[in-house]
Amino acid sequence: MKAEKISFGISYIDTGSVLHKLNGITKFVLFMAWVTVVLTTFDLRLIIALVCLGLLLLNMTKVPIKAYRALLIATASVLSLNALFMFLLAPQQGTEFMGTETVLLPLGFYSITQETLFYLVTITLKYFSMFPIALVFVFTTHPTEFSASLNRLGVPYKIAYAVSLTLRYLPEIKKDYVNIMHAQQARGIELSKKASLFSRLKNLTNILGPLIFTSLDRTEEISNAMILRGFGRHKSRTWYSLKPLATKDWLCLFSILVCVSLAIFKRLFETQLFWYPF
Amino acid sequence: MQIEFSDFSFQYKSLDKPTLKNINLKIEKGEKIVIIGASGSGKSTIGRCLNGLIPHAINGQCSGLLTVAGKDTSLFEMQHYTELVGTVLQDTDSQFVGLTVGEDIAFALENQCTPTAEMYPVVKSTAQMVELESMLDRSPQELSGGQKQRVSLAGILVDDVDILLFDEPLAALDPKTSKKTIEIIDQLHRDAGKTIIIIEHRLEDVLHRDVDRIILMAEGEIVADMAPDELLASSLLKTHGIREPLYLSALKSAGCVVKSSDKPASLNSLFLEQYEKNVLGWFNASHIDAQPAKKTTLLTLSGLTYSYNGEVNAVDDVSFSVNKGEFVSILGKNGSGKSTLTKLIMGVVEPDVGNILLNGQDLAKLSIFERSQRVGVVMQNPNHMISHHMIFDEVAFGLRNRGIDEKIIHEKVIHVLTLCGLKKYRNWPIDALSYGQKKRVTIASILVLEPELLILDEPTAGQDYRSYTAMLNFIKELNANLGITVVIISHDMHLVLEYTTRSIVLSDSKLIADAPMTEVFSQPDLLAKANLTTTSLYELAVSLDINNTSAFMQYFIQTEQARNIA
Repeated sequence: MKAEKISFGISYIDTGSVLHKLNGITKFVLFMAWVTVVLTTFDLRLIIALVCLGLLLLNMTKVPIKAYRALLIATASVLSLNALFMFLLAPQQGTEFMGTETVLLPLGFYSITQETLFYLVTITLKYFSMFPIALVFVFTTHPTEFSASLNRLGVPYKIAYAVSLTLRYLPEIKKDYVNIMHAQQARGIELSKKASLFSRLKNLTNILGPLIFTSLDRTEEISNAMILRGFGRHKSRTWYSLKPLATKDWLCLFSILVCVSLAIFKRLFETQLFWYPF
Repeated sequence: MQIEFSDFSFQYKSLDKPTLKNINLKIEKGEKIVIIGASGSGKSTIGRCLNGLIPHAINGQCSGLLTVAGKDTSLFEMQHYTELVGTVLQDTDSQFVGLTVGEDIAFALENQCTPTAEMYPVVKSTAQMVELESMLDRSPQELSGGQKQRVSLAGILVDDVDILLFDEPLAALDPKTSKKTIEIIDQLHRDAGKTIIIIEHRLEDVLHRDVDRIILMAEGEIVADMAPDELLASSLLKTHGIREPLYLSALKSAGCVVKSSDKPASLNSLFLEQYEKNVLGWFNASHIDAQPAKKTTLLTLSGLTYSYNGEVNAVDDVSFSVNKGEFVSILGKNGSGKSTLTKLIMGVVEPDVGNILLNGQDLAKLSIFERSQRVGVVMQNPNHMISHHMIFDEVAFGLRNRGIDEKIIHEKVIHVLTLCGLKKYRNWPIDALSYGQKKRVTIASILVLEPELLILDEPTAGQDYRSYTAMLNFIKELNANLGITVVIISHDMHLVLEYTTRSIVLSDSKLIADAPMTEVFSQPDLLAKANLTTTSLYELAVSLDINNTSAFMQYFIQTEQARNIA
């Protein structure tokens, strides 16, 4: 296995877009609201709108498409696979929900019905619709701003800080991992496809051992450095990166509130769980 | 009195002997103190007692009294320490907690619940003190070594403390940045009137600016507490394994007697004229032994180019060769491409352009493992290499991978452990070793494979003078007796000067020099490009109007080596 040439990772990328200028709290609320709306609905119209809006927002982050294209494709394939398995396990789920049965391809137990197809498309897109917004959140929110927002929304600051430290140290751990891998490869550890799966797994432990020990050493150093600078001395703390909410944030928050209320209202008064036009 | 240790002792919970024994030490307000000592002498432990990590984060048994600002520290909470003492840790990378420079500087303020709006002006003015005001939004990881050091300094200064404690501040820095750091510390001492305590074993670098006192520690006790001039004139440094400044070694080699009244603490204050006759006489009588020519090429790099991201070249059209039996150094600042070169030779990355020949054979045809049988690379951090629990197994691992008979493995491993001075530890767990000993284990695990070429990445990092001298003398012997070719990658000028004969200098991914070491060390402009500085040996020669600085250095090294062997 040779080191790959990687230009972008899935992490905060400052492109200075409109979305970057929004407050972390707004974006976090947007993300949570998005998830809530998606969970309440089985309406394909709404879901398609969310997917399009999500992709539009993702485009608005100005992050180059090549940074996330592979991930989008991967997610889409995993979800499609998921749909296939759902079909294999419960091929008549759609018919049960819609109450009608329009067989397109009679295959006995695995007969493909229009209802089931519609059901699977809805479910898959429903899951997929959460993905672009998650990427938007990760690309545009500075990890400490995120922690600050979490803390402001009531999460204890030590937990909130742990989140941002994890993000902060991920690149370092990745660097350690690559160094250890190189050192072990040079000593005859085979990680490429030449070795059998079992021996590759066994060889992987030769990397994980040193990685865990290096990381533990690092943890001790960071925690000492933090203690020395007064971390944990008070019950609360303030945040340098916490920005006050601007007018545009309040506007966004208000629209989010309206949308979520409408979604919940729709769900409560809906007569049919699935929107099925046929 | 700002700090006072009286009959202070400390024993770590995990150790069976005390690390500090009856320390008595007084430090006045506004003093600048250097604490030196070999690894394990207790110098870092003193620092940890001062900043409160002992007893609040590290367990152990204290006795005696330590007062800071007139108050008994046994009654202190952690925050009392933080209000009085600011600590800059050794490894700057591990102490960054913020994701931007501004945020990292503000960390202490955040923990004191300073309102966000009030933080900005304070952070800004602190950043100005260390010339970082234009970088507040950058990530600390992207900065150069010196800038990182200044960020961590600003993170301490933001919290108006009186005592600044530096724990080996120069360990990870190149020579030029080291000098700059010492200048900044000195400025803080003079302008802001801070009490400064520097824990360091690179004495000559610390003495780039005046200090008031030097505390020399050995085996948990203070063996000297005196003015720099006095200490340098004494023989205490030698007995306790601390490297004395190069100019002093040179003067002593030339038979000069240096007294404390001559102000030997820095080359500038030293009254040189009195030694001129002695030194010139010594140098004029010099005879430089001709080095036997080493003509067989072992390794050839031609037109090597590699880029990690396809945009910027990490190594740009680099060509050079190394002959059999040579001892070569590769110099350059962080990010100049030194480590990438190693990776290319190891084969973990493949060159975009160019090729590498070993004994005329193209390495591209060999797998990483096949290459490792012939080119041994000892990485900087031993923790990255060690994957076994017991020392014997760790060293035997490479041989076992080759599928050699266990009996032969046993013989070879014992032999190499004996060479590395590790034989008595062979059945020890690796965790019980110090960092320097672990480093020796990694060298042993490479040497046992009998490589033709040995590459050492920063071999002196994290080790004191005594242990790295022992290790390198051993490698030097292997070089002389077994003909192993050695390449070291380093920015430790002392090491390069003392052991290598030829230097390859990289700057901004390009090769800018490939010449005998003494020639490279005689070119201040060239050195500056690689963030290196001239050594005090060169400066001594220049002060004494010696034109052939290269020959002067060469003769000095020759006499030093003759003495080492004797």
